[in-house]
Amino acid sequence: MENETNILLIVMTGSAVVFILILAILFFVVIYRNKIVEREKEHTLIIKNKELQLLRSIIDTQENEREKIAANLHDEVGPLLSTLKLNLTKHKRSIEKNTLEAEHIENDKIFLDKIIENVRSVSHDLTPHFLLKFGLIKSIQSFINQLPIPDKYFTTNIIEDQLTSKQVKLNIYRVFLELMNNLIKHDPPTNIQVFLEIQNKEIILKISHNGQGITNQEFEVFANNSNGLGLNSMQSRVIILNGKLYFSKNENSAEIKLITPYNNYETN
Amino acid sequence: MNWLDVFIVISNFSYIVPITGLLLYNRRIDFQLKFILLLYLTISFIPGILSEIIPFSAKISYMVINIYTLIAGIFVFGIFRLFFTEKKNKQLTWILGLMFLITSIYFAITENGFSHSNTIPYIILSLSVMFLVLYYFRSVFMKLEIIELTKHLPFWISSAMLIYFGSTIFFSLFEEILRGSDNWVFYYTFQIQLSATILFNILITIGLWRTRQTYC
Repeated sequence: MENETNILLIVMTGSAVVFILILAILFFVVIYRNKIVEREKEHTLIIKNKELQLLRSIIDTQENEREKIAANLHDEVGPLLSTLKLNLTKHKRSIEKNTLEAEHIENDKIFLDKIIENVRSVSHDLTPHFLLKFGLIKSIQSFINQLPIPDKYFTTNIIEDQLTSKQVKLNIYRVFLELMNNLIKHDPPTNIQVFLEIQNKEIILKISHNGQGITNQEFEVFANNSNGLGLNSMQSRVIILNGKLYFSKNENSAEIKLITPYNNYETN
Repeated sequence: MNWLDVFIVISNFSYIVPITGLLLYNRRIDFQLKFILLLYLTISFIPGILSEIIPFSAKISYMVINIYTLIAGIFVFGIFRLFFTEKKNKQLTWILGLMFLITSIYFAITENGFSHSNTIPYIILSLSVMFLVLYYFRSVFMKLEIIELTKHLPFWISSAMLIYFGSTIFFSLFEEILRGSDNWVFYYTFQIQLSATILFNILITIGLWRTRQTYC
């Protein structure tokens, strides 16, 4: 009787062992697969971070170079052109009025004025001096004031001191400029409202307008088919800001939203 | 012919499927692995076929089983040697293989040749294989180099070996007790062994099928 119980126990245990072995192999496969997925995720995250760092350093280098060129144009080429203009004025005074030479000098002066204006404009485009001097809020306000749109409005709940990072301000401003340029170029509205606010540790830049507008899907299609430097640069800046752009529209109005973590640049 | 006889025939002939797969379809397997696996499967296939043709006496049966264990064991260690890439792991396979060989020869000499039941070499072989499989799984898990484990033939061979030897070792360990048992126990354990053989061949076949498009 005891022997029979032992045999039964052996047979039962043996069968259980086979079953457990099969389960163990299945378990191993599942665990292994999860581990691989986890590793792939880590790998992707590392690559993404590296790409972000690279993009950031490219944009930073680009900004530094722009700043240098702008400074050179403003501080070196600008004064030289002004000196040239002064010399021309002196030269004009030294010759008789209403002569052919005086007329030529006057034409050169007009031409030189245009060059000085262009150099100033290029210098301003390269580095928004206004932004560096007066900050993001006043720069946006100033830009909106100059827009050829009859009904325009800007509001914010941010004070300039809350935005400490120069890079964040510069990137938000450049994204804003690109969005506005595209808006005016492709879909000019008659009414525009811009909101800049901090909500739940996020900086939100919202542009509401009465143009046709686009949706997120339409923007993706547009972005994929576009080779424009401005759009690519804007997307790179949004990535650097760790932010997201949202496009929406309805019958009467449309909206563009840039949402970026507050002070993310310093923490990343 | 009752259902058990049918089951035995299926079990004995189940080796044909992976052998055919190896010979006809799978050209992507490393030549050495293909060669050793083919030899191992063929050697495992022969005793079953012989028993279908020639009715064995107990003495001949033991002889066939003991010789089969010795030769198949060498091929099993050969297969695992190919699975490992590090030198120390290859050496470990050699050491275990040598241990098995020495023990088999020792028992063959001390236990009146191959004509008696020599369960100890088989138990050593089974334990070694189980250890090597677990060691192989561990090294695979530590390295995480294989992206799709189920498209990797060594995984299927290891799983098949683990299930086969893991199930048959248990009945080899308690052979003496089981031998004195009732008829139903014998049939039950015999069926488990037959099922293990069929499962082994199914797993190898799945492995060959899954790896038909990937090199291993």
